[in-house]
Amino acid sequence: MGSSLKSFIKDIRNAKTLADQRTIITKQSAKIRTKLRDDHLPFSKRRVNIQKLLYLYILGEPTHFAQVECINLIASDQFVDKRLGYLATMLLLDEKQDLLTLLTNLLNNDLHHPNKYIVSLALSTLGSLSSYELARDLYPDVIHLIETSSDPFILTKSFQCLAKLIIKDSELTILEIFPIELIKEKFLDSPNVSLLTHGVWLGICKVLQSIVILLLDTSIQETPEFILAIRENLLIILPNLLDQLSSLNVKNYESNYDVQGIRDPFLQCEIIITLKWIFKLAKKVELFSPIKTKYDEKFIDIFTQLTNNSSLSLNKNPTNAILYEVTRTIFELEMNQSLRLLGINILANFLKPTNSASGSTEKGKKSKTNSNNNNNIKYVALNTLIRVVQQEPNAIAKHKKFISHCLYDPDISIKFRSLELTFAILNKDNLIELVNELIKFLHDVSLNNVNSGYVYIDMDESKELINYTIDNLVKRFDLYDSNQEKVKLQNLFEILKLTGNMISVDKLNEFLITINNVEDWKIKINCLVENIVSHMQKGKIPTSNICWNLIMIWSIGEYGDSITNQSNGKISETQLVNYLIQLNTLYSNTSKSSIKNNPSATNNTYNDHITMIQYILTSSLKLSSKINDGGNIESLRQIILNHQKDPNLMLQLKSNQYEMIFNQPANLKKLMLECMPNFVRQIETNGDETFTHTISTKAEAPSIDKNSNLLDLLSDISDKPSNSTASSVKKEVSALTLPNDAVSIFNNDLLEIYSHVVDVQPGNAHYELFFKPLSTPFNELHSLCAVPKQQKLTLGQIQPTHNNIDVNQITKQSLKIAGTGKLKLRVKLNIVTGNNETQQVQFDHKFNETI
Amino acid sequence: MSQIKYLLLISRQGKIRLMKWFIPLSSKEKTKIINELTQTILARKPKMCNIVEYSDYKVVYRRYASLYFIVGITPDVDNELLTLELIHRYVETLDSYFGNVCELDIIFNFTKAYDILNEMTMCDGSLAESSKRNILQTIATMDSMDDHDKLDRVLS
Amino acid sequence: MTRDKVLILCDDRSKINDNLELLFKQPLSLDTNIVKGIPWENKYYTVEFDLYIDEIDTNLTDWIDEFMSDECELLREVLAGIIFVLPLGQKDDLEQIQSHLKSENDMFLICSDPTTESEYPHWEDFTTTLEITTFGNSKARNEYGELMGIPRIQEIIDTYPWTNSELKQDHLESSKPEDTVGDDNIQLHHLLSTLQEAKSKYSENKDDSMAQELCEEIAKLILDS
Repeated sequence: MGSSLKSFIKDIRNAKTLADQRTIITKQSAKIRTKLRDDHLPFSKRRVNIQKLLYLYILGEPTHFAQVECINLIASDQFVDKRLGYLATMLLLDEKQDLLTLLTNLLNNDLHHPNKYIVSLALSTLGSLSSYELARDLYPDVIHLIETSSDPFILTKSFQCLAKLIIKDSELTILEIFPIELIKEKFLDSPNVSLLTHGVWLGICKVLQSIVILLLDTSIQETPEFILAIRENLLIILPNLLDQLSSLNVKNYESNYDVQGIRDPFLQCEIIITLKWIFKLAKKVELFSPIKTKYDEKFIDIFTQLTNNSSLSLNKNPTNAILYEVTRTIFELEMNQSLRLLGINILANFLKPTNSASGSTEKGKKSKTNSNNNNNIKYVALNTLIRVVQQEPNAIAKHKKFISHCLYDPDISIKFRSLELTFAILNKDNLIELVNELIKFLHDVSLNNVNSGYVYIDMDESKELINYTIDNLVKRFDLYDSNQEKVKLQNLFEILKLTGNMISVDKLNEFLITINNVEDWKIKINCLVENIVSHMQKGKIPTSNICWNLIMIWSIGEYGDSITNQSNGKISETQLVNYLIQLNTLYSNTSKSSIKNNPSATNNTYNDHITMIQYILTSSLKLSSKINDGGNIESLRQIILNHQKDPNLMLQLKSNQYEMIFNQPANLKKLMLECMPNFVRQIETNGDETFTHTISTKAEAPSIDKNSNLLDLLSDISDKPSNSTASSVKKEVSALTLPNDAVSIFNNDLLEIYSHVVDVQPGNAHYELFFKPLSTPFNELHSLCAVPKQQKLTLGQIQPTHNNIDVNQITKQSLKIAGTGKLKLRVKLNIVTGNNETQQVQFDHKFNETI
Repeated sequence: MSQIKYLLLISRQGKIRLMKWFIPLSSKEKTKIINELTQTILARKPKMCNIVEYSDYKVVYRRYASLYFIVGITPDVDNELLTLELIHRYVETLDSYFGNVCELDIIFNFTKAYDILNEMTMCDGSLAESSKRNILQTIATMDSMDDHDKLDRVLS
Repeated sequence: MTRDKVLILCDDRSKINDNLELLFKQPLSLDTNIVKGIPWENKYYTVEFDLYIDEIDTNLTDWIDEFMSDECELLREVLAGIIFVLPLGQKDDLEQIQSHLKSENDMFLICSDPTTESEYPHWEDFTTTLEITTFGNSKARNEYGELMGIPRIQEIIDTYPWTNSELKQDHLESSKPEDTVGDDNIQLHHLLSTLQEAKSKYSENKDDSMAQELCEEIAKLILDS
């Protein structure tokens, strides 16, 4: 140990030690507790102790024991005691406490105190602690203050307090008593306007909001007098609100309320909100509709004025706050289209990058407009646009440039929002442009991932962004026109190149189907050739971009012959075969070493590599039927044989299966291993937001038969191989039981299958299939179903599990059919039994129901 | 209705310096909010926006003089931009009262910081007074009344 | 244990000693690494603490290992905080300090770079556990209006909850701005400050004769006005 540290320790040992610091706080609060219990403790000492207690409160120490003491301090007749007593009461108590009844008398007295500051403290406390009892007992005193006081200070607080009492009074007792005409007579009629400070205005606004919100929440059966009075008064008050708002919204420097040259943005927003509520009431409750009839036009006028005037002082946060409130009101009230477009323009303006020019014009150390001001308006604008994009998708789509620009904002929440909005406005017309933007964005994010320098978002965040983008992009592959297939493929490969090392292989389902479904054969093959050439030219295989490799492997299996033919000699059979050999070695080694080193930590990589080998096996098999060179064919066979003793059962099984097919006569083999047909894709959104992609064929039964391998391939994608090595632990699965009304629709010595009607309506049917192994447990169960052409099928996953199913253990699968006609079903099951035999079961079933 | 749910002052060192709850919460819930928000807000980079989604709330914060002023509001109801102004108004008022407010002032005069907040906001966290001058005048008058009382006691 | 010691760790004492003296407002002899009873004062309280100054022997890793060893537990328990005065251009050192010392949340941790006048961007990544600043003595403030360098370190020391501090009582007087005087009758600044004094003396509640004196003075002031 360094000599210094030693000397420090020696120094500490030499000094005498003091009390343990950790106990100091506990001791303090114990001391305070004892002190406060002393009834003879003078108020001054009490105050000191309460002050200490409040400090402990901020530190998060328990302070409830002193609640009564706080209330007692209010009982003092000294201002200094009352002030602290009220402060402590507001902090230490909340509306839920029974103790509040102790306050009733004290508050009652202080509301009538000659000292206006004591009255104000009582009002503040009542406002923050208005339990039902307190409100009931004290509202007359608050109304009395509004009626009699001529001090704006007291009136401000009384109105705020009253607003709180009203909103809590669902029985409308206060509304019945409160003389609403007072607002007009006492405050709005000249010569009383001197009472109308901004504080009083804020208070009046709050009271009006409370009244309106309460009325909106209550269903009014008959129409009592006081409700009519409210309507009449709202009709009278409304023009005043409009006038006040429009007079505030002009440039007029008044330092007391000025914020960056804007007159009291707080009051402006409060009036806008009040107007919003009143018009909401007028819109929703018939009784109040005269308000709308009479003032709708003026209301629209002032909104137009607000948007115009405020645009003069753009870039200032207070102005933006007002404009933001205006646009939210426009959309909440679903105001007319020209206003809605105005609103969208305002929000789009918030997104403009030029806005960042705003800034440090302000003097003083606390700059209001520091750099992220710009971010904040972007955030609120995107947020609002996302909420209203359904109302005006096209108008918002016009601003796509600004929206895309926000993809590059350093703030991840803004990135996400602009992504969400980009996908919301994406349509056939702007598809190419926006996808290009998104590819640029993916480029940026993946680059950021690689850069070791200054990283502004972390790895997890970029992964999240990429996955979100990919998930949404694949759903848009359908939007491409048939004459845009080339672009579509180019985009797809570009996306994979950028992100293939960061997304999971499960996502490739949609990519494969998209490639598979490209109708223009020449375009498809040319594109593959291009990519394979550039891929191989790099010399060594990029191991990190696993998804890219997977697509290559799959394409080679499907189109190997066409690729070599169309490559003008750039790609030879041998190259393709060697490529598969290399990858096979790569993934076999890594999967073996990872399972050896750390089976649990690298589970994902391990599973991915198993998936890759499965694809390599299938691809090798398929390619072998498409080429002629004996040496190459033998190499492919070796790849397959390579896994005959694989520790992974699934691979072992596949290897053996494939070898059997491999040895079939060439013509039969070729027929079995033809390219996959076109797939119709259906996406079902489950309640829990996980997407199950299931594929049903176009109900062309022969094509299913011809391509038995197709099912196999698809199951590779949709069901991730579990690490089903022989030693793998069985998952705990909840036991399913057969419903009483389930009927048997198929059985053989292997299993019995039941169906059960969940719901059948014209156009829609929902069934559940139940599978029960009879003689042997199933290591795996895969099911695929087809329905007639005029119907569409959505197939759920096998629940609770599709592997390691015991004898007599029930599993189920949901089956949703949409369309018309008789309900017929072709079911095809691939089963791997407990002793690792593969069995196929196929049967047709006619349901009794028709849709 | 524009109302803030809570206001927290947290130092750059992660210490809580002031808290005001406008909604009733158990002390367990409060501790949870404070701890989680301290973590979240302190980790925010300067270029990020000042609005964070947190639990049922949206949180708007501003960093001033080594303190984070953190305000919880209701998503889709409250105006985030106006909340930033409200924080700023509070800071300005503290600034005028203390003369360039610093963390130490808040630690030793936290009751004053509360007093100012209570003049500015009321009830369930709604803004009651938008004039800085009015707030400061009220506080000054109440302060001098405090002194009166204390003097009285010395005299008697 | 009372935490009444501040530890400074630097790589070259001689280069930073001048600024250390500025920071603690007193001469610090280069040949001693323990300075007892440094007086510290701000407008609210006074406190005394000891200063332990250490230089890195080999490298930071070894030092942290030693500091976190069982032998140093006693030392860790009496520290109010540590100030690292080291070049912080690389992230590695900061990462080390952060990962090893983040559990020590009873003390303040400051990393201060004597080789730069401006903040490095990567400092942002450590804001939750460490306070990172320069070691300069300028009054400049960053974009948040916050002090930097030595003034900021002083501020952090100020805000540490010393348990052995002595409160001053006359703090409000100096901080109260003149333009906020209320509309009540008492307007005289002098009277107010006397009242303040009376208030503070009263709360101390020690000296009756002093209170008497004050009362007379105030009475005179009121009569005179």
